[in-house]
Order: sequence, then structure tokens, then C-alpha cells
Amino acid sequence: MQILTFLLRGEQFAIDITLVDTIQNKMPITPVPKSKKYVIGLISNRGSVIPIINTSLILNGKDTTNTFEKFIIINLGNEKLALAVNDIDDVLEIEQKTIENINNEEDFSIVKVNSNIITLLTYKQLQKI
Amino acid sequence: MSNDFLEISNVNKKSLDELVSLVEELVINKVRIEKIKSEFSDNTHIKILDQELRIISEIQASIKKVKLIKIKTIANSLTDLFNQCCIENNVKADFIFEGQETEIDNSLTIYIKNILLYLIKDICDNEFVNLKNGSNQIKVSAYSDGRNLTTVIQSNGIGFNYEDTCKKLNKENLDLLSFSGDEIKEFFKIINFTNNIEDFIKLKLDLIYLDGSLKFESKANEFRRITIVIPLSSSIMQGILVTIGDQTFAIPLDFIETIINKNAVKIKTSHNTEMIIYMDHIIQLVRVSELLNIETVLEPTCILIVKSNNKRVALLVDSLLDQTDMVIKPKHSIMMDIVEIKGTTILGDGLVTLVLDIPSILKEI
Repeated sequence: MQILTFLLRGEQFAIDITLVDTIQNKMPITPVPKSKKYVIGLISNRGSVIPIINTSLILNGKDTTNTFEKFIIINLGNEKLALAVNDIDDVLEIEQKTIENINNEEDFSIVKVNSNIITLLTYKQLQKI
Repeated sequence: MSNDFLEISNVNKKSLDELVSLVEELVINKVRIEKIKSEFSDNTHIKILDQELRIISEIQASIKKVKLIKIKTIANSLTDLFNQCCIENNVKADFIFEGQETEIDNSLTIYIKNILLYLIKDICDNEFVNLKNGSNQIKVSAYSDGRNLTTVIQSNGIGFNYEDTCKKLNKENLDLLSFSGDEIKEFFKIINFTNNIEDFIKLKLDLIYLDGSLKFESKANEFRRITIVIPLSSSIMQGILVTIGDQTFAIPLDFIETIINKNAVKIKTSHNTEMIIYMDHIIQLVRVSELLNIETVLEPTCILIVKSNNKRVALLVDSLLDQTDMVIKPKHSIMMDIVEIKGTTILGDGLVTLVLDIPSILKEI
């Protein structure tokens, strides 16, 4: 299985590459009044309107709105979401068995790559957004 | 039969939808190309751009027809349900479906089918109970004049007393668009329609937005007629762009009654509510920036009087920008609980603009 790793405040996170649609550079965002805290705003991509999620707020509870440089657009069922990240890092090949679930729940998974620990964003976790 | 065979070809719905959204993108870019064209002075550039623009217009016109299908595709399932209902209720009745050649948008057929299915079930359950002499019938007729699709469902049977029902509900007529949700529930209780009250309330809200109509008519022991008018070009409409704070919003032109300068009217405060007097009407004033929690430093300059469902409200905005054609896209599920926003639209500059939901803002106030 391949994962795409990205950086948030210097920390490494990852997402299953099959979920990823495209990666987009920073572009003008339309803020949405009265929306949930983790929704930064909306962008248009190939004719569809996509909400941008403050990934940092979801993953480690910290707000780093100003330094987002890249948007990872992901497919979630019939809809698309964009994850705002500081930067894209790498694409890694990992084995399914190196994924460990914390507390036996599939919501929180980590992978060990070359003695690095990377938090893996799973489909289940994304669905809760 | 042979004609039908020639007309139908298999198309993957998903790829068709993709094609349509690509065309929408082209149409959005059309405005930009027109702007670029005006910057050129030499003929060769203008010629090529003109040609491109013409092709875009033609693609736009023909893609509209691609999504049209004939309404007879839903006739079979309606007839099946009708026959089943007749057997269940042990009555004999005829089902007539007129205007099956009418062409409407593909997405609209499912919508209409659901409404008709419920109505037919309701009519079968209630209307024919006391009549078992075989002269029962339901006649559905659909016709379109290019702007509106009108669907009439008429049945003979017990009906209900029109004047008495109006009196009971304290209404002048049975135009359901002026009814509140509770009033619709009460009305349906009176006429014994039980299957789809929630769907009807949703239909009512949709029709208010699209500027359609939904009317009931009846005469006791003779007939009952339901007329539904759905405007066709629903997703493309004209809008006024306004600024609030540093954001731009679009308001559909259909709801705007008039636009006035703020300095031309006096704003008065009473019971903690701001209001203006315009043409001898007292209209409540709503600061959109407060409604949407947007910080604004500029002094608002414009008042838009909007009207929906016979209710008027004056919206105070910072300034007016432009009038434009827009394709309204439904809002993402993540924004579903924001009632003030109807959807989004992508303007010529590629930026996403939010479209305000005037009927629901008026309802909230």
C-alpha cells in the first residue's frame, strides 16, 4: 500500500494514496460565515466547489491557518474535501502489517517507517468530518 | 417501437455528468474570454476568440438537450403503482397519462416521479373508497412551455368542499406556497392525505425558491385537482453581487424588489428593531453583516428590499458590485446547517461566491 506523507508544523502525517484526487497549490479562498471551526473556506477546482479543512485543527488541535501552502483534494464517497497542509513530503511504500491501531480502534492508526512514527489519516477518521 | 430503438443509445450517466460540469466550466470561462477579447485590437486574435465563443455557446445549447428525457419514462412505474393500489383498495379505476412526449431535465423526472407516486397513492387510498361503480379515474397531464413544467393531477371522486376548507384554515385560496408547515399538516389532515406530508413541505420550500406554484382545487363529490408548476431553468439565474465586509455574496435577482440608497431613507428604531419607511410601507431592516457574523468597518451604503412569500425585508449591505449570470451549485454536506446560504457559484474570476437563501433568511427573522 502506498501512502502520501505531508507536513504540519514540522510533524509528519500520512494519508492512503487511493483517497487522493489531486494536489493543488495555495489559491484564493472564500471564507464561509457561520461554518464549523475546522472549515477554512471554499475553493473551486475543475468546476466543483470544495471545502477546505483545517487539518492541523483536526489532527493535533492546533491552529496554523497562515502557513498552509498546499491543498490535498481527497475523494470521500460522492463528495470531495481539501486538506490544508504546510507542505507535501513524499510517497512511501508500506506494508499493511506495519499499520498499528491505537486503542484497538481503527480511527487512530500509526505506521512505523525507518524508525519514524507517522500518524495515518484513515478513511473512517475522515468520514467523521 | 423502431423509432424508440433508434432514439435511445446507452450513455454512462457519470460520464455525462462530468461532461456537463466541464461545459459549465467553459461557460464560466466565457465571460473571461470576452473580457480578454476586448483587450485585443488586431483581427486575427479577435477572429479566433469569436469562433471559440461561438463554439462554447453552441456546446452550451446542445448539452441542455442531451440531459432532456421524455416524461413517458416514468409512466410505467406510475401505472404499476396505480394498479397495485386499485387491487389493494378493491376498486376499479382508470389511469390516464397525457403529455408523455414532454421533454424535461433528467434530474427533474425523479423528483416529479416521487411527488406523483405519493399523490397517486393518497388519491387511491382516499378518493375511491366510497365510489365503487367503475367510473373512477385519475388523469395526469404534463406539459411544458419551455419556461415552466405544469403537471396537473385530476381525479374524480369524493373530493372536498373547497370553500369550507378555506374557511377552516382561514385562507382565501388553497395555494400551498403561502401555507406554513403546520398549516399544510392541518390541511392534509382535513383532506385525508397522509403519505407524504414531510415531502410536501420540502416541495413547497423548493417551489418557493424556484418561483413555482402548488395549488389544490376541489368540489365535493365531483373532482379534485392538484396543479404543480415547476420553472425549468432552475440552476442558472441572474444575481446581484454585493459586498459585506471583505466578502462578496450573490443574491438571486428574482427576490429583489428594489435597491435604494441608504441615505434616501431614514432608519428608525423601535422595540430594538431597526426599520425603514419605504413607499408607505414599514419594512424591517436587517444588517446582513450581523446576520452572518461578518466584521465590517465600512459604513453600509445600500439597501436591498427583498420579497418572498409576501414578506418584505430590507437588507443592509456595504455596497453593490455587479449583476451577473450564475450557475448555482448545491452546498456541500459540510455546510448543510448554514440556513442563510442556498449554495455556491463560481464567477468569471474563478472565485467561489456564496449565494444567500432569501426565503429562509426571511423565515428566520
